[in-house]
Amino acid sequence: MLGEFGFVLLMLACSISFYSFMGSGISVWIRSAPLLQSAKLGTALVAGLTLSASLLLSFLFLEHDFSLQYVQHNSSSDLPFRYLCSAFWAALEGSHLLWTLLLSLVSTVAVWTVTKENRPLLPYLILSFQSVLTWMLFLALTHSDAFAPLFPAATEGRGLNALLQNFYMTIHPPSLFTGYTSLSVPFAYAMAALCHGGFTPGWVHTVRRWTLFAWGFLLFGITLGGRWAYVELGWGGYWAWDPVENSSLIPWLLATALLHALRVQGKTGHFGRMSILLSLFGFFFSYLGTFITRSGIISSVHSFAQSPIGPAYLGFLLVLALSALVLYAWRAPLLGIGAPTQWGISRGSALVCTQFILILFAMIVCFGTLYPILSEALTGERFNIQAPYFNTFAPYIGVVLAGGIGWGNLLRYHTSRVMGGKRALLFTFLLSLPFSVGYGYVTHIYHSAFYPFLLQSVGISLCGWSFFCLGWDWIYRVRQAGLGFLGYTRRHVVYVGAWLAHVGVLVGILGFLGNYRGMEKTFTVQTGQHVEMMGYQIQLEGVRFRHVENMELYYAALSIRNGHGQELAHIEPARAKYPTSQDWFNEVDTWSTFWHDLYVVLARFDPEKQEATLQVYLNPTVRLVWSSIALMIAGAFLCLVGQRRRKHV
Amino acid sequence: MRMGWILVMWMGLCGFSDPGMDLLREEAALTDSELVLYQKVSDQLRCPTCTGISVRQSDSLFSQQIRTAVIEQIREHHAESEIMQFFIDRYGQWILREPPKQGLHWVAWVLPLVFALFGAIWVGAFLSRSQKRAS
Repeated sequence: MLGEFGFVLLMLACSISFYSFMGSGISVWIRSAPLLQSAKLGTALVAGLTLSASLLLSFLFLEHDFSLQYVQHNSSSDLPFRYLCSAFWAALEGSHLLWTLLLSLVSTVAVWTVTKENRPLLPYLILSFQSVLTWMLFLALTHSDAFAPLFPAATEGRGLNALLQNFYMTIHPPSLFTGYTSLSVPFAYAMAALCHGGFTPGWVHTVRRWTLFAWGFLLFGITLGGRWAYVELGWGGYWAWDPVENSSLIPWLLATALLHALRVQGKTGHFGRMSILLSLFGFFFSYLGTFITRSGIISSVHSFAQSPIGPAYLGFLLVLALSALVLYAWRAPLLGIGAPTQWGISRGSALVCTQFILILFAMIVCFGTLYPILSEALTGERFNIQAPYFNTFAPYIGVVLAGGIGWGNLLRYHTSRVMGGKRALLFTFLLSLPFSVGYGYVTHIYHSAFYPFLLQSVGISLCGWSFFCLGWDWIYRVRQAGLGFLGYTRRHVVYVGAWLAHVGVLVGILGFLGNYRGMEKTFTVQTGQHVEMMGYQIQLEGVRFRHVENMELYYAALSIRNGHGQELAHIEPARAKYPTSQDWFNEVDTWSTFWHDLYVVLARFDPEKQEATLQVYLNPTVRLVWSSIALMIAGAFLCLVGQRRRKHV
Repeated sequence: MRMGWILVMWMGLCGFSDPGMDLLREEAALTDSELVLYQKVSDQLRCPTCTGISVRQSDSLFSQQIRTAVIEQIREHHAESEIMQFFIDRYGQWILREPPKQGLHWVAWVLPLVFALFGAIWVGAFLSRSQKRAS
């Protein structure tokens, strides 16, 4: 019964969204301020109604209302509270609603916080947001109804997909979707600038802020997905170049390129059109990324069952992309290209090159992901490209970026002089030598085969050099400003944020390069016995059983000792069984030091014989990868805070 | 009660014929050089019933069977290319994780390089053209 209210709420939201869409369009035509105001009010109403419908769905999950198809298919009465909350986005209908909800909230905040400078763009912003929202709400009613009733009502639910019963999965989709939907703001601003026929003075500032916000959330979401794969799937890795992973990486890469384009635009007045294009494509790819697997075109571990909604998504995306590009072709000449500039070997040129590399990377990932379609057209046989292909290209991009970060940060705008001259180059080079050798030594790269060794050596050296270039840059700026270290840092929070994000990228590249040297061994042990791997002793203390919430868990109690027999940790890799599935699921356990993870999967167990088969992976520098993400997100946060503060000053 | 016994016997049978245990034993019996070849080959073959991962990374029944076949091939002293060909003959190129460098699949390898080359030329031309205009 309550479910029908949800449907009505969404119906109202869809109608108001359509009104808002039409109203904002007509208000430009007839120049009516009240009509525009009502359309603006409409965005808030749509968000309010969609939020109410979503809260209602959550409530129905908590109430175990199995008269609703969606609730019955994705939850059961023994599900813990946190998974009842995350069951909301466990399947197509809910994740569609979540995407729509987040888009309505983001668009409302974006529309209601439009600054005076950007006021002329307001009707076009509403028009852009509502064109997407109306369609999404329409689909939520016709193709993906989360409130569809089940008749006769069931007494028990089918339960939540066991793979999704993991902490990281409870926050991964909302975080990723926040990133995806926030990219709609640069998209709307790009459309608005095209319709308006020029950039407003506040355009770059606002778009940059929203892009940073989206960038941070996308990165956080992607990382949570990686963490989930790492601890739940049990194959020892965190990134498999799966189509869905790729399609979340592409918008992130484009958003990164957009941040650099906006920097050039802000500083030199050039690259406005590039910002527009990147804003448009960033959103297209985030839309494609959300729904590519629903279309049934590309198969993926994340695929939901094929549904008739696929063509509706893709059709809409095509219409949206086509109209945006036609608009671009028509209106872009009005935007101007900035006064002639001496690019030379300046920071501006470095930023242009950065954009090129990021776009190139996005293109390669996109090409590889869509290759099954292309290969079917070319050869008649579908060929799914997997990790080895991407791993062929990615290291080169990483190495170029590693060197480019250092080089770019030594340069300044509008001049070809390297800051600090030859002294800077010499010092940073000399300082990077012991760093590179030391890092290579502790990560044992000298054990690698010739080719990976070469790549690792070059990559590590460039990362080391770039790291010292960044350090040099900071010290040089502090000395030039004469404000002292703290004084400068406090005044230039945005710079510190960007600095931190770049250090994060370097740490990440160092982490990826270290990952090459992974080791893997399988052991069968009995209680009391121990095995040795890379100086660690892993002893089985017993194969035990326990109930945790709704799952039955068989776990191997293991103690890890160092070479001297000193106990370091206890870990419990397990196999779990959920009431809703016949399969056993991995519950991996890891023990991490700064340099490596000891990652243990319980492959097989026999509680009677007290015997366990363990797959043990020694994964180097994984913690560096997680740390790099933390640094990048912290950097984005500082940039956001700093930009806000600078505006107030 | 009878069903219970049948279930116990069935589970017992499954236990005895658990291909996973046999595979683990065979993997453990490989020499160091055989293990390197085994890991290299099983990294290049896709798990037929999963998405995105190799037979080496997967514990599915199908992957275990393929890995067992790889070990058999290694025992018969076949080279890496012969083992790969053995699987391509049976499953088609579909079993590979990256496009083979032959025929139309060259597109997959050449196109990224074309992107890189033309992109670099375009960026270089843009920067130098603007420079000329400014001077």
